[in-house]
Amino acid sequence: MTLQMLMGIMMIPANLILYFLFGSLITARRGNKDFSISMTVLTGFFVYYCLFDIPCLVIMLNWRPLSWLGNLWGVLMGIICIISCIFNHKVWKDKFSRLIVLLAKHKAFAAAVIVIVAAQLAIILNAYQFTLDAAYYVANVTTSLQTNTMNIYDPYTGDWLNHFEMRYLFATYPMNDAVWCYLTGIHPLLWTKTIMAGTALVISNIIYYRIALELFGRKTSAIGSMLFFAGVVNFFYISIFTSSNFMLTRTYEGKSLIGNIVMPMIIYIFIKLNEEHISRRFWRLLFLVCLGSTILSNSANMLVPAMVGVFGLPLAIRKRSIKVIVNCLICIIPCVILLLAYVGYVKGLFVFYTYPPLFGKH
Amino acid sequence: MQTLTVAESGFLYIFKCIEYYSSGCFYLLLYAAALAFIFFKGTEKEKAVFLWPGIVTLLTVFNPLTPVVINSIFDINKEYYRFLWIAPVTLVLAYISARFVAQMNTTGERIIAAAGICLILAGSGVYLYSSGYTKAANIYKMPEEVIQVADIIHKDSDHEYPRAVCDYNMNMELRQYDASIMLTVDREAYMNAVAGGITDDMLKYDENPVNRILGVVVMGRQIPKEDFIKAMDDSNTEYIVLDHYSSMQYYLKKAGLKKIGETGTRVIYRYTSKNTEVFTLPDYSEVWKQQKFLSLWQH
Repeated sequence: MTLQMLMGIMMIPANLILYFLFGSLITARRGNKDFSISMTVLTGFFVYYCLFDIPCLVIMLNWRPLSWLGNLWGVLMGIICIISCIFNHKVWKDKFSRLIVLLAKHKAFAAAVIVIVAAQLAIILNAYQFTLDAAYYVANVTTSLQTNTMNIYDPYTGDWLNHFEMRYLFATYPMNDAVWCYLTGIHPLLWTKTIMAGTALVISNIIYYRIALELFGRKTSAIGSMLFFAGVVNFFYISIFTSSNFMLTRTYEGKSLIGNIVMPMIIYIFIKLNEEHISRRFWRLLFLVCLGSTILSNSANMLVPAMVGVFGLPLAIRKRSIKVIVNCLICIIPCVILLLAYVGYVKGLFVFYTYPPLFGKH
Repeated sequence: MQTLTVAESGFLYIFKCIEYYSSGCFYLLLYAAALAFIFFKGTEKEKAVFLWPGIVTLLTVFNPLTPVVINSIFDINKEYYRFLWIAPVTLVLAYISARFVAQMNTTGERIIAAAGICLILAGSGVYLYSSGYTKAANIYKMPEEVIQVADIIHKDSDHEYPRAVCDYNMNMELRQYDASIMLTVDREAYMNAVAGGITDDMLKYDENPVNRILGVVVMGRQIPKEDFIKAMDDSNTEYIVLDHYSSMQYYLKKAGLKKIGETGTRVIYRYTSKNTEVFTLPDYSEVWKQQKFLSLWQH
């Protein structure tokens, strides 16, 4: 029991390291100059889910077991991590040595940030919460693991479903949870309610940090106090509907990550685009975030285009640039395609069955 | 927002939605005040980052027309509140607070300003644990009784996938811990029963087994025992988990169910029938043999 908990706590930094390795494949391509550890983790988070979705969908739609995906993804992750180490170790070495110097210079700031985030983690990871939605989302992970399948059984009851529920088909975030439970032997409850809850909270704070850095420059005390106040606001901005409540109690739902990781990330990208709206780098990042959001939750298909519109329109007007609008439209293409697919499914135009035609007995 | 609909509320939907969304928390007002502050005192960068997108949000997301228009294309009734997440309340309030504190000259002033802001934020918000902080009982963040009930059922059952109906909380939590226990009632049906959606006439004339079991377990209706037993048979339900204080225990015993165990606040009954169809997982290995991997895509 204690060993599982210890393993669980260790998986939070392990997740961040994994995202860092995946992100480095993109961010380290620009060399030392712009390489940032925090941006690499954030980029890696979205790269990870975009890559995971490909084998997951192929295996799921061919009715193959979760263990296939687990083994394949385990091997692929290993290969990607090794490639990342080979290509990026020089950049990392240089960056980490500079980071150590920087941290030594700002010890108080580093300690304050650690205390702020650790205090929030200690509060939420030790709390018991009863939420109705867990009966679907967490049980979906437990069911997939128990039956060694993906999205084929009703999480509420355990009964066999004759078709994949389109709302959850392309948003494979819970299947990643199931894969990790398969690979590590960690119980889905520990994975979803502790490990991913902690991981999401840390990532969310990394985005707050990046935004604060943009707004306050190098004023570390202001950055630290913004992180502190963000924590206070999140703990007091509570009703069952607010994004803060989702972050502190329901990170096993992909939509929680849309509200607390994807949306702040889009704001961060637009802060950068306000400065350099011609830069392809941040438009590419926006596309990656929009694509990755569709894998986290089906809710992204409406929310993310709306968010991009709300931030893109003033930018286009201020910069008097049609290209901004065009780029925004390109970025939301993945969301729009999946939204139309969902409409087609609801209208009865198509369905993905959980069995092939020859599987007559069901 | 299960009960709020655009069809009923029309252009007032957005106001009711905000009311439900806020539920006594005044942060949307603070957010509006922060935007007003930026409008009058903010820098160009602050306006670009927060104000202009904030105004577009106000004109679109918070526009009474928008939910009505979207609802004519998609059923948005239960989900529109998520559009309110577009207003970056946490970021704006945190930023303005930090900016205010940063303007103070001395450390003492900063501490006082930070404490004052915390008081304002606490006073105008709703604390996450305002109804009490419950420490998780174990690493699963589940009540110990969920684990005990799962153990009792598995020890008693002679097959891998026994089927049960439980009291509300247990029904919502049991399969999160142990997905090898099947549940007769899904979440929507359960919530419908709790909300009083099952009438006495439905219990009498409608042979829906789920409703009849819910009628007994949730609503405490003493329907004819043969109807209840038929519902148990039809739904292949083998176990019923009730609260210790449930007045239906006598009824269950009279209907022929046998008490097989209890925990701190739960009691577990077993129904034995020769007609129970034991659930087994469909054997997909046949599919794997006959349908080559990726053949779906070739077709």
